[in-house]
Amino acid sequence: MNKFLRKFFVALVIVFIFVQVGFTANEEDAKLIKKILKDIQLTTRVKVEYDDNVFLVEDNEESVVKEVLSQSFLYRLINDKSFFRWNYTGQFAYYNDETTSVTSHSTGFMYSYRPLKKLAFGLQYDYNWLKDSKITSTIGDRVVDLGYHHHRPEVEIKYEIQPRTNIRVNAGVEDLDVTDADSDDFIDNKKRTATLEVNHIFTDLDKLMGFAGMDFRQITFPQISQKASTAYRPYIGISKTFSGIGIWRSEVGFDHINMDELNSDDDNIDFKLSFETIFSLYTKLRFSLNGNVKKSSLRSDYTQYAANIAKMNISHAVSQKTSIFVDYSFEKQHFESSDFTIGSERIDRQTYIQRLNLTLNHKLRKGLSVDYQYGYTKRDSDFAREGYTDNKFSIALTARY
Amino acid sequence: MMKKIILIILVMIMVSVAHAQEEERVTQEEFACELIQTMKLSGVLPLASLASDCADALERLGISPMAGWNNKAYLGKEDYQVILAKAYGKEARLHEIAQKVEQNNISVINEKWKEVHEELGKWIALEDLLNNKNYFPNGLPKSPYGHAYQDDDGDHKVEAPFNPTVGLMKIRQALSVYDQNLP
Repeated sequence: MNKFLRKFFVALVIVFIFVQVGFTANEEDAKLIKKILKDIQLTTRVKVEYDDNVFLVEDNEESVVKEVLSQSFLYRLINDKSFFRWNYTGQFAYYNDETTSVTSHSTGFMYSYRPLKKLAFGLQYDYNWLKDSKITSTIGDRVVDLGYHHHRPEVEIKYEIQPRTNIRVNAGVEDLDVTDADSDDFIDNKKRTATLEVNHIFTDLDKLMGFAGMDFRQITFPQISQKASTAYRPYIGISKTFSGIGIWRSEVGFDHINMDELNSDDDNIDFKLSFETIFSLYTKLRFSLNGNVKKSSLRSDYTQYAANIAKMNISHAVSQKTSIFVDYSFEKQHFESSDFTIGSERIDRQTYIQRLNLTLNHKLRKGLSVDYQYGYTKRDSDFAREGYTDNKFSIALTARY
Repeated sequence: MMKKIILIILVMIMVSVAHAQEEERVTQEEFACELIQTMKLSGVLPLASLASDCADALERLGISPMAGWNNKAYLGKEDYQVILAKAYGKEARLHEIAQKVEQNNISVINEKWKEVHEELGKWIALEDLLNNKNYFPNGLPKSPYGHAYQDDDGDHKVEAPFNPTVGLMKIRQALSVYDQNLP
């Protein structure tokens, strides 16, 4: 803790010196620095949380009180044709009873540019790092106590073919690298994705829109080749805006998944339904359902599984200073057939996960707010030692400046 | 203080749009992009965003003309007044006014329909009434929600159009303890 605080204060002093030098260098530099500083938003958050099952275990749960300090930085620039965002969040969580800590960092940038009325492109990069720790986290469909590095660059181009018709091309790479070299054989992976989509608006005001596209996905595991796969997913859907009420969207896709080495497939039909309200600036309800016709193969774990998920989100401004947020989700993961790569038995396995998050946000004064939160997770799983119930209560103070 | 700043910004946009209209009319989606820029809402836009994405993003936030965004249509004076009022959080007041206008329109149409019936001694079709400029020299009453006025049950009276938004707004207000304090 002391080591962390020392580093934090040293960083603060360096920033202070840098700013002072900038201001005294010359008037032009000072103006430029002032302009940049104006577009920067800093957020400091201090949270105290009680967790009744810190190791996410089925039996012999251990409760803990933890303090979490997070510092965010957000730099945004926007003009009529482009916008740029650069963000960083560092988080340090200290677990009192366990005398241990977890550090994580996430950063990224996004640049979007519209050189012509009909043409836009964007570039984005996200990086996440979680320190190795005995405190568990979730990677894909598994609960593990591993740290990792995660990179995701992405590029997108959109072109308006006709006033009502757009074409969108997106390509990205995702790299997950677990830091513990002894436990990463089945988890480390590289994913390449690409999407080509065309959408057409049939009617103007209620925006009845049809869209069709093709997703491409290739996954490789550096340490093991049996789990590598290539997938093509053609999809089609419609969305409709009920003016002043809500937006409905539905999509169906056929996922043709080829396991590269085994010359077999894990084909699946999936569907996505969602509805969100748009009648108010102060109240929002969102419902969504993702379903799959076929159960995923066991060999697909960590990355390629398909889950059936129902979600509901509500946000509502009770007053000018107070807002409530309710988020609930129910997820079912179903795996069938054996995974010979890890020699497991040929039995179906299911995991049911329920999550509930309640938040009450209250603005104390300009730039300062307090959050009261309750989080509930219940995981019933056929996978050994992966079921648990977890309750979290927290209070957080957030300052934006 | 913040409210005043936002109000000044919005008034500046209104003035600039009014000037722009004199020189070159802007489409609704172009205005949506100006509003996103002024309100610094780039975070709600997709990675590669065309002007239509600005309108979609604002619609998701509950900011739109009464009848929804018509991306390629030119921005009308009423449209931008409604959009700015919603952006400033005056949605409840806006719906109150719109409902009064709706009720007034219906009574104007019904009175005129009855008047024509008494003049001609027979009922004319609603369509003929609404399409005849002589009956409405000041212009046909226009629904603020973009509804088409209809007489579904044939009693020669226009019914109030089904409008769930007004009901939803009432529920929302009932759930807001201090709703009158919202900007």
